[in-house]
Amino acid sequence: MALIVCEQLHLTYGLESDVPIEALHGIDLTIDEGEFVAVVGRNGSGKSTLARCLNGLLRPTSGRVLVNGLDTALRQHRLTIRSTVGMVFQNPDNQFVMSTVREEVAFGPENLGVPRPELIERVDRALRLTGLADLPDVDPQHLSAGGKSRLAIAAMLALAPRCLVLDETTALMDPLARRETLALAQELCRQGLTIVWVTHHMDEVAEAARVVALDHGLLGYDGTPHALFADRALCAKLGLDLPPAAQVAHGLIDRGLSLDTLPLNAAELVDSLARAWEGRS
Amino acid sequence: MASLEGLRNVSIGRYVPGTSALHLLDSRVKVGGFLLVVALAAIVNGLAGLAALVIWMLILVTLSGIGLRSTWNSIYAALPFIVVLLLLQLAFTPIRPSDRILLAWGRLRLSWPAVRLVIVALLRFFVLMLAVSLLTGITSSGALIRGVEGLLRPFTHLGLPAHELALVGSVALRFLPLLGEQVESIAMAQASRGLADTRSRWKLAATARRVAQLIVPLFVDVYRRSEELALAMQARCYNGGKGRTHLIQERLTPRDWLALAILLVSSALVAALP
Amino acid sequence: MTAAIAIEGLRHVYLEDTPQAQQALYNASLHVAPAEMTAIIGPTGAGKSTLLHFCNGLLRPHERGRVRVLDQDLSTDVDLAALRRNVGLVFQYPHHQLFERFVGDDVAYGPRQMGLDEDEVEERVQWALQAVALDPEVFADRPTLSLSGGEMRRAAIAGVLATRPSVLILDEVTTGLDPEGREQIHALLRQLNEREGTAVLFVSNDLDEVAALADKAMLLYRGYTLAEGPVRELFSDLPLLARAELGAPFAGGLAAALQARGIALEHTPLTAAEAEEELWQAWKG
Repeated sequence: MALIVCEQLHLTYGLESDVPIEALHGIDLTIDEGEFVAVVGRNGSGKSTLARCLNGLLRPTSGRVLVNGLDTALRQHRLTIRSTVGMVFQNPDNQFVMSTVREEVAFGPENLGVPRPELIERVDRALRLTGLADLPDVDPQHLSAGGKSRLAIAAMLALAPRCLVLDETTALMDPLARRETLALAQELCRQGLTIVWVTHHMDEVAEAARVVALDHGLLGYDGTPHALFADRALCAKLGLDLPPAAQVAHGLIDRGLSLDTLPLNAAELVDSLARAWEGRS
Repeated sequence: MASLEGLRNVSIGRYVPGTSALHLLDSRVKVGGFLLVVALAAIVNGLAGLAALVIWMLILVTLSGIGLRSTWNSIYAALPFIVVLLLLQLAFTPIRPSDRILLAWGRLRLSWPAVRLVIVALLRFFVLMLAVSLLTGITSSGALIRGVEGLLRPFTHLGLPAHELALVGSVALRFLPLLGEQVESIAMAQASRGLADTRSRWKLAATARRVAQLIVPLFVDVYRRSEELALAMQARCYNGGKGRTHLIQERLTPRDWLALAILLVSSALVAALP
Repeated sequence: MTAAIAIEGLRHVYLEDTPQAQQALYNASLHVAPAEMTAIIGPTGAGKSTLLHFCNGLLRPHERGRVRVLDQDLSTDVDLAALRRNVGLVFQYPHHQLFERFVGDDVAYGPRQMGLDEDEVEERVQWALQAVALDPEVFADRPTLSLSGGEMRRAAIAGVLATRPSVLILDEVTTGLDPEGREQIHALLRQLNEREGTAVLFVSNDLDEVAALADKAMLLYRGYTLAEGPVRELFSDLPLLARAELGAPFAGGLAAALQARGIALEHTPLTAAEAEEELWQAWKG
């Protein structure tokens, strides 16, 4: 079932100024409930702008965005839409409002006016899901890098969203925190939450079921990561790297070693090589 | 180089989680007590009274467990500015013929009223800095908002946006220590390109230029941060104080009443001192 | 000169019991040879940035440890201005380091401070901007704050390069860039290192980036140097990397997983390209 629908979405910054900047020129995109969609593209290709259109933080210049059937351009739907599509930004330090973990998580549902018994339940659930239940009184600034991102996610979960948009949340993280955050998003997706994952890391893209690539404000690709990384010319055009496993696989295939599938991560590469070796002996 | 490191050292505005008796007080009592101390610092003019206030605050800071040393460090960071201001005041306070002259050196004379004025200002500065450190040290931002909001509630009927004021104040306080870190990082980044010989910082023109060089990137940072924070708050459905619910509801306990009593009695004593 | 940078047994604990204590150093060592590319790897909060600040005298050893940079002992009274021209440090946030209004003036700041005549300053600006692939014609007159993130990083590097440092130090300068932006910086570092003989020291927590660029690496974890040496050697110790919360580099992890499935490679590969070659040899042989 379609959760988010973008129809001919255009977004231009600074319309009143002399040099308006057109960030998105006509995006048609449908995101279904429960999907894990990676969004990629060069710096400045419009990824963050698109992300901010999905929950109505930005309103389309023309075209429209529907969230669960509601038009994001209409004021009366604003809070419903923002609590349906939660948004996690890049630098957690800049998005914390409160000085304890528990208060931080409560901030969102408090804004919505959730009655107190349900509020407590929501906060506890969000803390539990993100593994922060033991740290309710800690200052967010004292958390580890991974802990901060889990808190930013917990703060969103307390709004009871159906979709989470993570806008380059892992960009500034070390490998451990990145893995932790991705694993949490994948787990939430398994529980039915829709995930929109904006990133520059191709190994993370390989984990998604669907990739949307933006190219100068246009949709450059929409499909599976396998088909994307199979097309090296397209990747180069979109300014994308290949995940290292796909790079090795392409090299070997070019040299004449045939592999049954295009592996995107080390585990898939190992499996596929093991099958090739078996087939030979 | 110690000065570069010192900037990060600002603990004002930083909440120090803990379970001291002071931490456990109702947030309205904390904010009310803070306001009382500030008012006292402004009203009391006697040296003994102000000294008593400083000692009183030092005792509370110690009891709260937020760390006397880090509190002192953050006060120390602001001290040079205050000292310069006070020296200026010392130089420009007019001297009347009847004043007692403490020191005469060429054309420079120090009169007792001028020195007294400086000491009073310095003590007030200490009281204020200690009070702010203490309040933010024992009060989480949520509690701070509740406290201010609770105290201002009677005025909401007059159209006062109590919640918004409380939120803005608490967020601003939270930004303070981050600002210190930011300034330090900028100063270091610039110093490593040969800017900012810290030894020349007392030369006025150099100082002014230096401050300008720090302010532009700092402004960019602050702007970026506040923009991101505003977006993050919008994304979390912030819509002003109307219709908000509260995770924590506080009720005044006997402990709070006791604290209030102690506060009022000691305030009266301080006010009575010469 | 035996070493561009030699740090031994450095301790620097700052504000215990505060978030800053996370950036403390307890026993850190680092050796950077001239004309080599060295990486400091370690998770967030290991003390990597703090260690960099010792390399050009922003912090001075005051507790325990020895810091020698370009044959000068930094615990003695050294000419910091001269040292900082020779040891360029690029910070993580480029706009912290840019302080003139226009890119050209900003890059010219260092050379002007050195007292060079305007012709030579101009020459250095041209060279430095070209080195970072910013066309001087286009960028010299642009306001610094109008640059995009990737451009700003390169402008910051140009400003540091303009004093022609013999050691270039970079703090996570590829973090947050897109693949093309990252590759541009990699190419620049390789070129400086190979053609100009500049010693490069960089901080990264991306093991594959380190594998692709660095000759040597130092592993810093919670303020302690756990290992130091050639990248190939360091990266062959997968358990150590895992213990330092860094995961495994792609190629090394791949070789280990293949080994477990009965596919043995003759040499442990360091990069994806090497892995491909080793696999091809194993397949043929």
